[in-house]
Amino acid sequence: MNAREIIESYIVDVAAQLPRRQRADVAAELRSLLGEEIGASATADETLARLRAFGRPAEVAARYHTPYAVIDPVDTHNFVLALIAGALLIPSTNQRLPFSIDHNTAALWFLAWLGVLVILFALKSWAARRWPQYFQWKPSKVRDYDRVRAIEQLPLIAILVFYETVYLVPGPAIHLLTGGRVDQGVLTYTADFASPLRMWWFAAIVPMLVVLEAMAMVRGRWTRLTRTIEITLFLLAGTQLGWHASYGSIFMNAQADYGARMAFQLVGAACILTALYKIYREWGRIPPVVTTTTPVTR
Amino acid sequence: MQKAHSDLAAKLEQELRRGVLMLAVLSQLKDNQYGYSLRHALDAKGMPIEEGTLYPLLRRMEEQGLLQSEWKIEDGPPRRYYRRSKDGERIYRDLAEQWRALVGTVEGLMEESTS
Repeated sequence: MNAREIIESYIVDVAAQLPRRQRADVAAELRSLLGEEIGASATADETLARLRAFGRPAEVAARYHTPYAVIDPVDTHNFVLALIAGALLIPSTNQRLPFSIDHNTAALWFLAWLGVLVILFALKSWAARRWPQYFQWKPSKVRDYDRVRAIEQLPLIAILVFYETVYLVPGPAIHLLTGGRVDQGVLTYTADFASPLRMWWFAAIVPMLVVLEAMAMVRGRWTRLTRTIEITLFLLAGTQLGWHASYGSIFMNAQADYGARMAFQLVGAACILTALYKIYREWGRIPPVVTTTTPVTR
Repeated sequence: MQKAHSDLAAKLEQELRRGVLMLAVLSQLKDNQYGYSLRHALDAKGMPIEEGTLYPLLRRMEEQGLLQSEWKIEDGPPRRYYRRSKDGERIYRDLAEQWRALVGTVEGLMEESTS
């Protein structure tokens, strides 16, 4: 290509990225200016070097006209968070789990989620430009996550005690809960599951969580240490339940076994997601406001 | 470390210049000028501006109503000539006044910090 052709190629690449009404005019002006800047005697290499110094066509076009952003740069953080949160909810590809999907379906779900997010965020960006008055910042009550409220803590402790009871004595517990409709014998653990290496780890983790949650309620606040212990226990509980759901039989009865594995997988996933959410909150933690009445813990 | 310091200084200087670029351009466009001649005029007066920055800026200023332009053929190829519009004239006077006040204020602040 000779120098003239290189300049034309550059002008076309810049103009192509501008709104249609600006293209011809900017192209004519650039042609005139670049012709004078570079000079008629410049070689092809010199011309290329000058144009590269001028900037990539997309950058130059952006100086003429603010480019349209499909996703507003200010929304990037929320977009990435939503993408990760949605990806975490896609079922496992471990085929030994009751709720599982194959790799291709998982990839398809992820891409579908990505597509949905792009559309939603693009609509939001468009609406925010069109009707900025509806997107003004509004103050919201700042929640003190370290404060422990008994009204929230007591149901959590009750649920944990319930889990532990059903886990330790599933037959009598379900028999009682269903008013005798489920026979106790159906819910008999296999000898392998009841062995010390499988069943008892989770059975030990739940009481620790109960004690921790009760202590936090009595103290009225979480500390860095108790928050870390809670996250660790949730992670341990989640991995234990996931292991139970994917490895070997739990109940001797096949139907009960399948039901238990489904329940373990769901509760395990909830524990892991809770732990991940708490890790995220810890990672980007904003220390609460210092007041004279509320001791601040880090 | 030294390089990082000089890079930062260069970046800050560039930002400082960018802030007054529009005022510098307006000051030179009382009479018709085309992009290339304007760039050389500013350069000769100690205000070098990259072509990739100046030419789009002229277009944006025209869209904002600060400049008016026309294509002309004088001694050479067709060129687009720019000059201050009526609005641009008024805004230039306001900006120039604010600039002088700002320079006085910043001078005072710097004198305070060195004394």
